[in-house]
Amino acid sequence: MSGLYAVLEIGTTRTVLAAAEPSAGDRMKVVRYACIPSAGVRKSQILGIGKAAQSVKSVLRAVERGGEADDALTIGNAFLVATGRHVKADPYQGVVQVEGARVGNADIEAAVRSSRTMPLPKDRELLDIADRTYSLDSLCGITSPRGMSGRILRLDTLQIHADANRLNDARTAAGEAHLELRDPLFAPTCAAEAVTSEVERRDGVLVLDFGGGSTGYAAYAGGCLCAAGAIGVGGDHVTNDIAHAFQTTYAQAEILKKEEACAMPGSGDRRVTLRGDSPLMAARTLSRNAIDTVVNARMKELLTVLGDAIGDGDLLQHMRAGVVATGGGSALKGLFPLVESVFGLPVRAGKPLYVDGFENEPNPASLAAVAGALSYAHRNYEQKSVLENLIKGIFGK
Amino acid sequence: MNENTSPLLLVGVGGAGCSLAATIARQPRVDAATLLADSDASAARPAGLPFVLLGGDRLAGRGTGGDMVLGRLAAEDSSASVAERLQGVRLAVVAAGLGGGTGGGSAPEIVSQITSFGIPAIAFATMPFSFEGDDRRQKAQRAAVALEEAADATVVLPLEALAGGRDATIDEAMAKAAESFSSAVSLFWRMLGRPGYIKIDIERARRVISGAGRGRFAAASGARGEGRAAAALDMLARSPLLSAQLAKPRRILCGILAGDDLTLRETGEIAEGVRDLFGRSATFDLATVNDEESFGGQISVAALAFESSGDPAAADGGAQERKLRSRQQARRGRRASSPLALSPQGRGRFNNVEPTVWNGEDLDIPTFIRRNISLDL
Repeated sequence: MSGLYAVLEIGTTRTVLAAAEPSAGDRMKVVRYACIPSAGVRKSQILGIGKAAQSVKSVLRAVERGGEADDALTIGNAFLVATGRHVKADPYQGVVQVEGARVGNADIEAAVRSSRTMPLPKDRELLDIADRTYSLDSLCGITSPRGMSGRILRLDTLQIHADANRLNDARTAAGEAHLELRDPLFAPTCAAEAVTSEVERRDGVLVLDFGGGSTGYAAYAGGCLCAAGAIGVGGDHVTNDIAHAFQTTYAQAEILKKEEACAMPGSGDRRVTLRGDSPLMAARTLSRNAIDTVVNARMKELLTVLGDAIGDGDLLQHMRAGVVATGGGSALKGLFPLVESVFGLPVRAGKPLYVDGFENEPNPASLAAVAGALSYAHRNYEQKSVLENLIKGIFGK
Repeated sequence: MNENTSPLLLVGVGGAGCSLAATIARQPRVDAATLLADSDASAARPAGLPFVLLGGDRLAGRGTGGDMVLGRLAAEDSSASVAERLQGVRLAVVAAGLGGGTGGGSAPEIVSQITSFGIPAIAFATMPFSFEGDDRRQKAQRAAVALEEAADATVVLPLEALAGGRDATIDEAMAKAAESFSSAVSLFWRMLGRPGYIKIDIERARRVISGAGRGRFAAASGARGEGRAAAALDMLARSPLLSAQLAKPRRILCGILAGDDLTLRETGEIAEGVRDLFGRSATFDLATVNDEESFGGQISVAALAFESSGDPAAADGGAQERKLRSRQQARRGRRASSPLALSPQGRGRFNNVEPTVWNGEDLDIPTFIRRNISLDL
């Protein structure tokens, strides 16, 4: 199987491994994928290497043995989809003096090289650099400066970096499962890659990736990434709030969240029956309105915090293509009208646009980051050779 | 109908709390009122003591079945009955066993009702034995946090420490724990209810207890003969209840309970010994109870150490009382909204995980708690 790309996501709620190959045009076709519940992960960070490694082993086994017996697949390496509040994005500017009277290719390359020299502390690791626009002397917002006249050429970038220790924990967990991890990719920007068009990114679009342990964001305007990051609050917090408010187990709270809760109260009160976790626990009823109140408070606060984090005052006003919601948490009932009311922007679900194979997934938006990572990896990285995959597969285990 | 004539009220909540309050109420010569509150109408309790059946229509006297939410709702349903008993009360002592539905769910709610009237409340509570299981222990821990939020001062005593040795049968351990709990609270109670030459009267006790926070407690009973002061101190120092650490106590309340033969030297020896035991930097309050009938020929010592030095304004008149109330409300508000409060209330599965702090708020604590959003359950 040539040209195979694999992507691993060790999420708070589940661990996903997907393998895909390029198909027509820039599209990717998922050959095989598996999702299993995660263990040892809280707020998008690994807290138990052994448990996380076990999750990786299980998902790897599920993918490799998932097909027909004569169609066994060996996956030796995978790109890592990473997120969490340890991921930050900082602007950085590459600056060069234009050599001749006009900007040439060499000047542009020098500006790009200069923009890749942002100093980072030892415990930070670069995930991605998003080039924004060039400026020539006092003229800003230039997309292609070649041939223009000026003296000082600058390239504005947004540099996304993460806690190197957290990434190393993922590498260790994957390593214990005999899976080599290639470069880490940032989940929200990957999700944006999968679910938005170039036109939307030019018009301005905000992608919100609602995960179990954290919520990521990526804001685009003028075709450039303007802001990105993650807040350490996710669907797990909603579950925790419900469990605390109604003195339920986490399993019961999870069921209430998925089946009953609505982030936008006002659908009328009624009693919701909560079954006991065991035959010894009697069923009881809860107010649907009270559940919604708890969830609404949490989600409204999260959206307000996201608005503050995206910052830059009027950046949200430039999101003319609205908001696209991805991640497992985007399935929460009433979330879209709440996002609309908080941001004053239209919202749609983020189904992967350029990757085939996730159609049967109940909530395809939950796999947006994985889908985007597959596309991104294909476009930006050479695939490792089949031979290398096989060698890893045979001798690495 | 309020029948209270004493400014001191002992409230027993739930099975264990009622049993304790009833035991103490039987003791002679204590000038105090007692109130029993339980959701289980069938539980045995002595006649003649005022009783409030919690959650009348909701539970119909059948108890909570271990459900703390039902316990809380039951106490809310019966708030008027509790309030009737609070007229004239200046200080309340609430006793409960944590881990069940009524003790864990109703006790914090009843304490809240009491303090909302500007009455300082100290809660004595027991934590279940470890063999009672994780679920009961976790419930008890949640209830202890809720009690700390509601009460001015809280003393939580693990049953394991109260029961003493591990070789006792379960029945013996339970009986011993109940007896130790009863005798410990009883000593404190008598210290307030029957002042001696050095008084801790109600107003002074209000001042000590208001806003005192978490406390630890140790008691020594019945030291006799020559060197009885030293023996009492030795018993106090070896009390397993002291094993629960309290960082730097700010206030110590010490009661010496004896007959008429208590000497000045013995009083001084015990006072110094207790200060050595708990820390000399803390504010020290001493009380003696001279009761020849109960303590003739012996010395008992009860010592309470609190994490906070209390509220000096609490013992003054009406204006001060309003001030106290607003301060208490503000304190509760702070506790509810403060992001970095010591209490881990609501962090649940995010305990032991680095908190998500945004603009000074710990976002791991449920939003509805930090925003003081009330829920119509």
